This record gives sequence, structure tokens and C-alpha cells, in this order.
Amino acid sequence: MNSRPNPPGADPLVRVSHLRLDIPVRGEPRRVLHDVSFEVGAGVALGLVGESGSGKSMTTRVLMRLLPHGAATDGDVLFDGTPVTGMDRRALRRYRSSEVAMVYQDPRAAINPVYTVGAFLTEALREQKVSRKEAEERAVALLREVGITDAPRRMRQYPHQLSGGLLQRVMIASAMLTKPRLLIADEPTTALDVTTQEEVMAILDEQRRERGLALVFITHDLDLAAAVTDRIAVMYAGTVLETAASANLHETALHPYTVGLLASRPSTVDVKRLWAIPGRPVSAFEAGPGCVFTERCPFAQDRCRAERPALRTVDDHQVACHRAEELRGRITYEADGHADHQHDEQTESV
Amino acid sequence: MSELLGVENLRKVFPVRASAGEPAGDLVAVDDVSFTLPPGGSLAVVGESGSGKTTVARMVVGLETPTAGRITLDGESREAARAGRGARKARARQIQMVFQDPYTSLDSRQTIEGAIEELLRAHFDWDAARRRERVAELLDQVGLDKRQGGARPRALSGGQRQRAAIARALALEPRLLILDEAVAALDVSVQAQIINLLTDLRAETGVAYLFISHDLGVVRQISDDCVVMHRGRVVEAGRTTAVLDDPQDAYTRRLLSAVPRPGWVPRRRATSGASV
Repeated sequence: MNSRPNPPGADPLVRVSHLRLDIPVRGEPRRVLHDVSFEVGAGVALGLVGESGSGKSMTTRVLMRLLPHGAATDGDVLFDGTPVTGMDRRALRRYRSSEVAMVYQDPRAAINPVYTVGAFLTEALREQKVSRKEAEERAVALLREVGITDAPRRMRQYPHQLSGGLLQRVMIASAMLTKPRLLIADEPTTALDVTTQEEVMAILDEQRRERGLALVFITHDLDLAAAVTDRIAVMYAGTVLETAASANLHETALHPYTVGLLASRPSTVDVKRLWAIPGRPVSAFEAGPGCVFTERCPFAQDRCRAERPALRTVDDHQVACHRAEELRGRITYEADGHADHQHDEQTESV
Repeated sequence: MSELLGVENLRKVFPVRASAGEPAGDLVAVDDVSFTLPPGGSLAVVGESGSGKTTVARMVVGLETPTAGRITLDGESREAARAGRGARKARARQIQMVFQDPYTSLDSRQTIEGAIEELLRAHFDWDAARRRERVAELLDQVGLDKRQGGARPRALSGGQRQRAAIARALALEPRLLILDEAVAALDVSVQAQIINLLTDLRAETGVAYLFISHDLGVVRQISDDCVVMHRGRVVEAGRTTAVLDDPQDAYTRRLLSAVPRPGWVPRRRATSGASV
């Protein structure tokens, strides 16, 4: 994808800095996000990549301000310069209804099964006093844009009559209806087959470019994120560990976790013993005082266990690792029988 | 070539009831599928949802009865699906299955050790000490410690649960393990651990794998041979390296080109208005 950076000096559309989030669990606050910082400009796609429990979905909940009662945030979440956390009821309603839209992993859970696709798509417009005829015309036009050819027939169908891939296109069309400036897509293709994923990603990409949308794309698939976004933020245990340009992340990854993730993905072109990051992904609240990745990091030292590294600029990356410069280009996870055996022993606790 | 599992002209038709404007009819889930698997080999059945790959696995393990075709194990036919208790137990010692989600395939009220022990008790006339020894050996083989062995599934992570499911499946020393999307639900870093574990276990025990998967990367790591299925039929078969390096069938090529990789650009193929 072409990157379309903001004009110099302009504020990015979305700026999240040092976001922290606590959510009450049985009356006690529990840390869900430690330190999340990233920016997304208009027309730019950012990939938020991480394993389960890394906090990527919670981050978007903060962006939408869809948080449970008693949640406490710290740090800034700015949309077009306005703090999302400070919006009053009216501002929040306008923001959610017309500035930002969301596409979820499971379209069937996000659409009402007893209404037709047409009723679902025109509901928001009818609320805004658009005539039925015009609302339907706009919905049909949008369905055609997302590659649904027999749109008028689809409008009369119910969600269960559509395949997952088609339904996800309907969701993308519905997200575009109100002409948002920011689109958040949370694992939008994870439930789909690879060939359908390709189609849906192509459509999402097309819509984003044509409309100059800012896109926050959440996924666990680093290869997918690298291919369809401009920048990637790698999250682990409620923390952004590294952000970098997507195009060369595979060659230039600095954080041991990023490099490990890249090395553990099985390739379709060659067979080699995978470098398995020892241990299991931890949750934010389980992390000690040091770096959140210490427990699984083969390069951790005393300092890493004692002091949490902040995100800082190294080369053209942002990385939260004390040893980033020292380890640059030296982290190799090539399979070596003996070393691997040691890793396997460490992984026994997984 | 010696043959452990043979599948010949397998076919499965499900009757479909009429619903929401769709008439009743027959759904051909698997149509004329044949392959063989040598002892200690690893064969992947690759396909997307609806390809029939899981139905093939369920017929091989005996959870589904084929409409037509033959399944042989060591040259002996396995059609006697309604066999007696003894025959069913003998079959269980030959073939075991690991499912995608260990959370739903393990009993939530049973500890991991308990689940494995139960199986040993049902099949072997061993004393408690011998069973304990075998349980410990199995847990060690899959990389679970004593404490994890004594835990219930809920207390374990996804990776640990899948290790437990593998230990249980290996308990009877089956000749064939059917792995139905067994690593698909795991996080990448944990998935890599389980893939390595499966590679080691096959080398150590000589068990054969029938590996059902949609993930071509995982298939490349785990299988020697593969069968690509599309809409119930085999569209391509051969050595995994050959099929993935030089796919002959258009659908296999399409599947490969849809795998995200550095420099990949997603493309819209046909307008898919017609595909429901």
C-alpha cells in the first residue's frame, strides 16, 4: 500500500500517547493496558498486531470509548485534536455515529438476524431523515462498490442467507454509509477462508484509499498486517513494544518479540524448525516491574527485569527495549538442533 | 510402498431438508476421494471450509459412515462401523483424533492425569503403579509438568490444553493420529511450539499423521504428502514440497497466492455476487 504521510506540521487524525487502562475485576482495578502510544494520519493504515490478550482490542474500545463502568484511563487519546475521553454525551454521539466506524471479526454477531440486509443498511440513514428511496439507492450503490453484483436481491435477503465473506462486505458497506474519517477493523478476516480474506482485504484497502480513511487494522497475523498497512505497532501484554514501517519490518525488526513472532510463523516456501518463543503470552496484569516480555525473552538481563523500557526512537523504529542498539541485526533464530532442544526444555511450562 | 491407511473412492452424501426457499436435496460433501498413507508417514488434507476435509477425517476415524468407498487399515476393511465393543476398542488403539479446540474435547471436570488414566484403565489390564508410570511418561513426552498434569483444563492455557489432548491421543500408542486443525486456534508463538512437538513425536514414536488443515504454511512444516480438496473433490495430490513449489491445479495456485507474505497485494478476483 502506498503510504500517504500527513503534510508536515499537521496533527495526525488519531494520536494515542502513553495510554493506560485499568478495568475493575471483582471490585479490584486490573491493569489491561500499560503503555500504548501510536499515531494514525488521514489516509494511513496502521496495523495493531499482537497475540490474544495483548490488549489490541481493548485499545480500540478506548478509541470508541466503549468501556465498562469503573474503567480508569490515563494518557491521551486525541481524535482530530479533541480528547475522546473528555467528550460530552452529544459530542460522543456525533463522534461515534459519523466520525468513526467499526468492522468486527464475526459479522453474524454484529448484525441483527431478523432484519433484512436492506433494513440493516438503511436504518442509520432513515434515522437521519433520509427518504426511504434515497437510503435504498445509497445502500445499493455501496453494496456494488464492495463487489456485490446483485445488490437489489441481496437487500431483500436475511443475514443467514449470505456467506461469511459476503456478510463481511455488507458490514464494510455499512461502515462506509455515514462517511467516517476513521475505520477500525478488528480481525475482519480472521473467520474467513484465505481466498475470501484476500477479496475482503482488497475491498477494505480500496475503500480506504478512495475515501482517504484512516484505518486501524487489528490482527494477529503479522504477514497480513505487513502487506496491507503502512505502519505496524506490535503489542504484547498491554504494551506497544515496537512500531515501524510495514514495508521493511521483516528485515528491520528490532524488538526480540517482533523478531521471534516473525520466526515462529510457518512458511509455505521452505521447511525449517520453527523458533518457538518459550512460554505462553502473558496478560498485562501478570507483568512484573520490568519489561513485559522479560519472562520469555532469551536476551533479558537484570536491567530488563527491574526497569520497564519506554518506547524510544531507534533508526526509524520506535522500540521499547533496553538492548535494542546492542542487539540490532544480531537476533537470529536459525534452527540449530542443540539450541532448539534448550528452547524446548524451556517451553515445558507452556 | 507399504500402506497403513488406504482410502478408495470415498463418498459422503448428506440429505438436506428444505428451508427458507431452498428445496430439499442431497449435499455431496465428499466425492470420489482416494489416497494412501504409509506407516509413520504424514499426509495433509488441505482445503477451505466446505471442501469436505473434515468429513474425510470423521469417516476415517469412524464418526461418520461413508455413503460409498472403502477405508482400509493395514489392508483390512474398516466398514464394520456398528461393530461390537471389542472391535471398537481395537479400533481406538489404532486410530486417535485431536480436535481444533481442546477446551471442548477434554472433560472439564477431569484432571489431565485422570483423563489419560481412564483411557489406560479401559484398554489395558495394568496395575495402578504401571498406569501412573505411563501417565508420567506421556506428560513428559508432550512437555507438561506434574502440576499441569494434576490440573483441570480450565486452569491451563490453550497451548497446554492442546499438549494434554495430544498426550491423551498418544496414550494407547495408536498407529495413526488424525489432527483436525489441531494448531489452528493457537497463538503464533505457541503454534510454533506445538508444530515442533508434533514433528518430534512422529520421529520418536513412529505414529502416522493425517493432518487436516487450511493453513499451507503449517502443512508445509508437518506433512510429507498432501491432498488438496475443493468442493468435496481432490484437485491435486503429491509430495507437499512439489505441490506447494509447483502447483498444477488452478485452485491450488489460487490458494497459495492468497497467503499473505511480504510484498503481497490483495486482489479482487471475480465479482462474487453469485457465490452464496
